[in-house]
Amino acid sequence: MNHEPVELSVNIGGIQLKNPVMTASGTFGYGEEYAPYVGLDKLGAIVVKGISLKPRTGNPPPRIVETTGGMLNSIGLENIGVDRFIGEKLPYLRDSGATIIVNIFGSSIEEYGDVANKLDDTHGISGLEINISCPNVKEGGIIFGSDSHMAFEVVSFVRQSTKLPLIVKLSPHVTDITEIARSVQDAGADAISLINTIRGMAIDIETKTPKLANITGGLSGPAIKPIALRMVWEVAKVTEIPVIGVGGIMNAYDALEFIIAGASAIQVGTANFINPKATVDILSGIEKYLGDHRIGDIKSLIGTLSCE
Amino acid sequence: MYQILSKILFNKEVSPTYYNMGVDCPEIASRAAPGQFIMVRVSNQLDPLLRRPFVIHRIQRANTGSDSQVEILYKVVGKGTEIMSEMKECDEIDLLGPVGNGYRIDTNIRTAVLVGGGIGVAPLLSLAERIISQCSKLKSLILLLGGKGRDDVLCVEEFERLGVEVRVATEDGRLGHRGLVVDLLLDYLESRDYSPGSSTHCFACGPDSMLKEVSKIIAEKGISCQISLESRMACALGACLGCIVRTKSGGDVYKKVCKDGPVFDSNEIIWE
Repeated sequence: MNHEPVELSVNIGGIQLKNPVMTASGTFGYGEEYAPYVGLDKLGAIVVKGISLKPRTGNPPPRIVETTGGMLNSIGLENIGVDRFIGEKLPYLRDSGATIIVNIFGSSIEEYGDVANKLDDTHGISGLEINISCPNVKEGGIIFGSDSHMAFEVVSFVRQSTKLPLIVKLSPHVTDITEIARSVQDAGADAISLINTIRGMAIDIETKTPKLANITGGLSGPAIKPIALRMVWEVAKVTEIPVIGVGGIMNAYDALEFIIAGASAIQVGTANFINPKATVDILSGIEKYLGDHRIGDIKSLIGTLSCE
Repeated sequence: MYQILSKILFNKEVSPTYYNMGVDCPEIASRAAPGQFIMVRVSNQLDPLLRRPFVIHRIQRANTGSDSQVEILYKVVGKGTEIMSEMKECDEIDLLGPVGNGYRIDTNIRTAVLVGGGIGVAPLLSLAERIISQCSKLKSLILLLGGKGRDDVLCVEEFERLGVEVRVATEDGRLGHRGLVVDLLLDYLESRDYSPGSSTHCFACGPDSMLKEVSKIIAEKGISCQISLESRMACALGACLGCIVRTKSGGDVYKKVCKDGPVFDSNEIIWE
């Protein structure tokens, strides 16, 4: 069946994406690792592994364990730091023609601001994603993402530190996800991505010890998709800014559910580990669905959920 | 590295709970080196979810002269390997590989000591084949092989067919020396049938506890030793940062088993 070309581009808070398929931070390295499998310039955007002001060693091993339909990780935000990222990783990514979004985090509000400020002066970055939701580190991360006042403070501060479009990545660990979504919107966020991983654990019954050295870790993969989908739907209903759906997207059908629920774009995470070509497979699946359903523009599918 | 659907040529039980699977994959076989591994997706369902890493057991040459098939020797330990063990000839299997850095072979080796524990024997067969074909000065090639019991001692005949001297230890004493493979190593190094110096090399694969002991013993003798590490990992592409190991040259930074290994110099590793 031949189809008319479909319009796939979306605008996420000032970032123009060729299509709605992005990578989830921490699952796609700095892009380079996946270049043999994916044309990096073919994706909507590449969100790189979270970057902090100084390099971080991360948590001791074991850091990963598979659970039913998912995986727990406790990497602990290991990264090379913003200076080495700019010097060593960014040039390759920029030359690949990819749309680059840099995920950032800090252990204090000032540190978030400092990282944002350094990247603000750097050529080739289309936007920042602020991680206020990592479940695996004590300082930073989730402390800012589980309290709407703290979230407001950190996003406001980063807003003043950069002119780049800001996406704020939310944690599912809140009583009311819409409250924190409104806070970051009021603080000047241009878009919201959700959800980060959900804290979980696994135990070895022979040794009676945790399977992760960090005891707990963040659950990702298909097991968390229904939770992510519900939260995206709730947030999209009450915010003015675009929402990016993340959580257990393994194929185009999963991605389409998020878009119908109100996501303007989606991020593919754990699926990259299993199928390095997952992003491009999902993109062509979305394209086929639009063609089959004679939808000329993806934007007309966003938030079309009918609950009647 | 290639991601390909390959045809299974055979999948047979070689000892209770141990299987050897041959897959037709010229792309991987022609580039594979002993010590490298393959990521196997055992099912296209979402559970089990992740690929499983398996070290390459054997790289087989087709009659045409080009490598065309690889063998994976594995033990059934959980859901993933159980599914694998039920696969049949002509089934297709999703492979990603070859991954990582294999054993480095110095062609001036005169004496090579291979140390395997249980399923850790897997990469040593292709290694032995490669050493024999590449090291013209080779005088002695010996395999020290350990297992819990008789069923855990694999491939003895295959090694002997290559002319490798095999010494065996089992924990229950049903086969060979009663005890651990490290006893055999201590014994071997104490006896005088090895030539000290740079032309003796040791290659080991097995559980961490064994590798740690081997590294300690070898360090005292000043012999070069390469060990192959196992680790949980999700991607094998260097992206998930799950398979990390602390090394002396890494400083504060962990190394990745998938990208920097799985074979490391034994004196590089900082054992947890």
